[in-house]
Amino acid sequence: MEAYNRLLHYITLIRREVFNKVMISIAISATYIIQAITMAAVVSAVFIGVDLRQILPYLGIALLMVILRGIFSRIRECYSKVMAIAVKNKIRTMIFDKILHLGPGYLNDKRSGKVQSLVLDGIESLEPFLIDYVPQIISIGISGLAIGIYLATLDTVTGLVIIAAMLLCVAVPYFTLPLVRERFVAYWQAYAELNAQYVDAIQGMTTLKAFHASKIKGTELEANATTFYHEQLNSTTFSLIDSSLMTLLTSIASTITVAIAAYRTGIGIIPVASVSAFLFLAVECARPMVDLNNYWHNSFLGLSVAKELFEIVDEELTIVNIDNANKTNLDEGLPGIEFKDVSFSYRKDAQDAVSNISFTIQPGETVAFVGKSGSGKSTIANLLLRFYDMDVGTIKISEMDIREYDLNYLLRNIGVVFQDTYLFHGTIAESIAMAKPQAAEKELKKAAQAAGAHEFIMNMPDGYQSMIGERGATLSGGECQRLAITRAILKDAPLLILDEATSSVDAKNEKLIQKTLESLTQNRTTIIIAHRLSTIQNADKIFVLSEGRLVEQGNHEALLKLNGVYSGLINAQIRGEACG
Amino acid sequence: MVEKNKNYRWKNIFMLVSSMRVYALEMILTILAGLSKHLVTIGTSLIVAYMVGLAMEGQLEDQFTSLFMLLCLGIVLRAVMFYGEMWFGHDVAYRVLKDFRVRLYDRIDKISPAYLISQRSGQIGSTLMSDVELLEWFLAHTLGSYIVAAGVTMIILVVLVQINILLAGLMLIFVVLTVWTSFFMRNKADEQGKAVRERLSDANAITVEGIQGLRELLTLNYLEPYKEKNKVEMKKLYDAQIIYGKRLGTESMLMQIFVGTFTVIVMGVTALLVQGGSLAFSYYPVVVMLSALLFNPIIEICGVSRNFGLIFAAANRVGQVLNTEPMVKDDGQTVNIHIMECSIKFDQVTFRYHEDLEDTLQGVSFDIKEGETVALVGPSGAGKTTCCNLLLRYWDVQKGSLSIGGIDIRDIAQDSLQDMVSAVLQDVYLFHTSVRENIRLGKPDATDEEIENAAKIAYAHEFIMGLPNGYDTTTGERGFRLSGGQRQRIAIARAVLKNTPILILDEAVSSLDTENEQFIQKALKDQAGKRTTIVVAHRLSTIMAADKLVVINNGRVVQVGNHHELIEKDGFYKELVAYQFDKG
Repeated sequence: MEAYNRLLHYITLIRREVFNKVMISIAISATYIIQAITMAAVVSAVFIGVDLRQILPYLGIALLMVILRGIFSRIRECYSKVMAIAVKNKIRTMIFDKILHLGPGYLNDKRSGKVQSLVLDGIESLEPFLIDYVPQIISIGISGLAIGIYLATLDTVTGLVIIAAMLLCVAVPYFTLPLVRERFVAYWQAYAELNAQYVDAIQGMTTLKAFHASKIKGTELEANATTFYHEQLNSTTFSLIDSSLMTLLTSIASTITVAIAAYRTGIGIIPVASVSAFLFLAVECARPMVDLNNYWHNSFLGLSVAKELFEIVDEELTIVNIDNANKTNLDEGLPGIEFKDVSFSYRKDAQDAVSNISFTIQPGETVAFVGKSGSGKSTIANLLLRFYDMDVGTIKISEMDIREYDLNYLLRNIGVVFQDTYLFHGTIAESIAMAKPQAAEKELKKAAQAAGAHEFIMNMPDGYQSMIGERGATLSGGECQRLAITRAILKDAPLLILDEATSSVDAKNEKLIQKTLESLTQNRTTIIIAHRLSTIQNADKIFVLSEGRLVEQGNHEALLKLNGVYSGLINAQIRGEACG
Repeated sequence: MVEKNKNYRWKNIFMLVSSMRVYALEMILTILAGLSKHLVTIGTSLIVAYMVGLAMEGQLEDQFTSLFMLLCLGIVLRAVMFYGEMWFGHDVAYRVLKDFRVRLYDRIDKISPAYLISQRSGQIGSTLMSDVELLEWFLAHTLGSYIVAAGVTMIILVVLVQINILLAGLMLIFVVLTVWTSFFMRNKADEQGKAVRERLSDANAITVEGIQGLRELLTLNYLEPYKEKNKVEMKKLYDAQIIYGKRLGTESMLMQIFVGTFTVIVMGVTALLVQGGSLAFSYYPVVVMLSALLFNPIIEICGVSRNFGLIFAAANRVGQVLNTEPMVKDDGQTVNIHIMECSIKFDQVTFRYHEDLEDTLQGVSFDIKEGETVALVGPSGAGKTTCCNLLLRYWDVQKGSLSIGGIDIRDIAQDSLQDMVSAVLQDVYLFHTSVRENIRLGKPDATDEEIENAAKIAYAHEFIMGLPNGYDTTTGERGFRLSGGQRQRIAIARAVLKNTPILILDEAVSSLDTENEQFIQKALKDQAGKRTTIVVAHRLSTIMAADKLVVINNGRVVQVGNHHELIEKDGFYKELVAYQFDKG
């Protein structure tokens, strides 16, 4: 019920639209009512046996009402679409923005397929409730009651029965809602789950085939689809009880009441001339209730989804700008970095990814982080980028706490090359230009040449205008990386983070990139996270991590003399290169 | 255009109707319930109208009790029949939806990965989920309703003919007019429906990509432009929806006017008949009521027909996937992989990914003996990964042949081939499930002990035990929470567990540090027995461990031999290695 009330709150955002729609609906009801009254008059006139020419004006009015109604219906239909779009757009933008601002830390625990079905199908399913149900219930309240009261003045008993049936029809859903909602929540969860399963399977299809597991996955998905079928049928079984009850009530309103009126006419309580009014008007009372029933039926899904949507709205942004966040501190000179007693874990119940780490990087230095996989190197980058905030300790950039910076400003001053680069669907040129939307084509090419990407781009069928698929499906790992480097060059930020950037590029290209990077690191503060120790021996300082702790630091020579973890890594490397 | 359009609709209708054939019995129940529901509804209204007519003439009293009982029975029956029609109809529909999803997956399985390259996973997701879901409209609310509407209209026509032939004729004209409204703008409806569905799937893709590429969006400061892009896509969707809605509005206007006009005309004509004495007055309200009611089933089907544009667009998208022919045909023989000799021969293999593209491989020939470890060496984009793709039969060679144990792989059943060859690919994909299940992927019947052993061999056991729930830890989508090296080690554990006679390692150890890599290489060798291994790598240590190197450049084999032979000769390999050492 809480979600229901909160949804009603969104109605207040569009109250003008709702008001307009209610007015159109009432106009449509009015045409029905006037038509019913004229038709009742015709029946009475024919009963009395008047000259048929006298009923022609009535028929004329009825025809006029029919045409007016047609026009109003068209207006209502178009207006509903416009209104639906206004509402959905408001909600969708709000949710999508919120998700983007919640950032990678939030999405880490979510499956993109599930988020997708929420933002798209989920919001789409709010439409019947917001656009149809709510205005309908208001216009029924007005036009239905008007008919009921009019009939009650003709005959109190019958009029009251009609009003009672109408009220019940509006009220039934509120009693059955708890019964139905649970099933619909289950249905929606099964839907989102199935969607996520399919997205997962399709993205991993190549892997599935490489392990002869695509059929097994297919069986698993079939089981998921069957579960979904059961949830669907289950929710339908229950919601139909609801609909059947309402069907019964509308039948009572439209037929039983008329039978009662006929009876009361027979025994002389209702004048013969009025009874035909019941015949036609009772149907008009029932008609909007049938619509209401349909709208309610279609609203179930939206009501179950609403809860999940509100969860996102309510999710607290953990990484936010402070008031008067700094937007100038990095403008002059190169940034220095200081970590002081920093600890962080990705989840409460997990081990610390880094624990109690302290170090300083001077402005303009090139430093490297080394260590086995999982030792916490990438975490350092994640913290610097404020994808996460540390649990304990402080991080300072240019002597200012990282949390005091404006988030956008901070990210604008950091260039990153990730170990796995996500490439968006679009042309190569678009993909590169993301780093600097206003860049001229010449600038793009220059950056690509510097990153050693120009050559392979020109070899593609449409050069810079070639399309790259989702996750750059048609590019090799090394090519993706070179595009990422191109973007970093174009972005030209004073702080550069290279996360295992050169691991899957062949030696020749690596050498090229290496040269580029060397020139890139000039005039920049650079952090390299690499396994290939050969690439980092020229670094000003090397930090050695082991199981989340900083165990050694110094330059290459100094670290070798220590005869510790670093020299162990180097020895392994040399053995590897020399004899295999 | 019209002709083509006809085919478009019939083709899709045929696909949908034939998918329901299996559930014919339940369909018949749906139709019977629907027919009864409409007849009972009309019946109750007529009883009431008749009662009013009698009351006005003062003759109701004697018949009231029996008519009233009949009425009560009628409305209860109506509710029951409504329930029955809806329940059976939906049951069939949901079953068919499930069948469609299963068939779609099977087909995607067959046509991947060639098909996937040209698709965005958000789009395929929307075909599998929301396009299929939309078919429910047709399956649960259309076919049965059409048959019911036709039946009810026929019955009423017959009744009307008894009362008055003129009225029956009038009715027929208006029925035709009303049904026509939902068809006369058919071409527009189809076009607009297609536009809406396409915009929707584009919007889907934008959302998925935004979520998956969020890190890049943030670090490139591209969040605001991306939001704008999202808005533009959404705007396109909304525009398409509004155009669609306007047409719906016009259709419903015409329908309303036809139905309403008919009632008014019937009122006049029947009044004439009553006055002329050819119809008793007590039938007057009955006929007027009837004229309004008999359109109910037709209005119901027009309601669904209005959405045919969307429904057929969705059906068409589903049909397109189902009708895509796989690039590789699975018509080879099942072979016994235990007695197969697992030598590999590339013989003059030429291949390009697309007609418009250049050859990726040109006349590539080399042999790999059983039990050998061969490294494919060369610069990025030389064609190394393509060789692996061809061996996995993701694509077929265009010229030349590729054989295992002397049998062309096109003559080996896919099942056998996949049991023979497994691969650890460049881009490690971890499924949203536990680490244990991710490793078990290749061997569903593996025990937990086997899984742990495989993880130990891949040097993954230790870090897995350090995860919050050990082997039961769920890896995020694309394994976000694990580092590159950890993901690769899980992928290697998969391969160790699967233990196929042929193993492809495509950059499988690139994210591992050298120490780990050494251990894993050794462990794989120890486990191997007579396993044939193909390695794609840039790292010298990996390359040197191979028995033989095949040096590839620009899609051609330029040198073959072991490291020591090749390093002696002046050639491409020497150059390549020179770079490698040089930078140290």
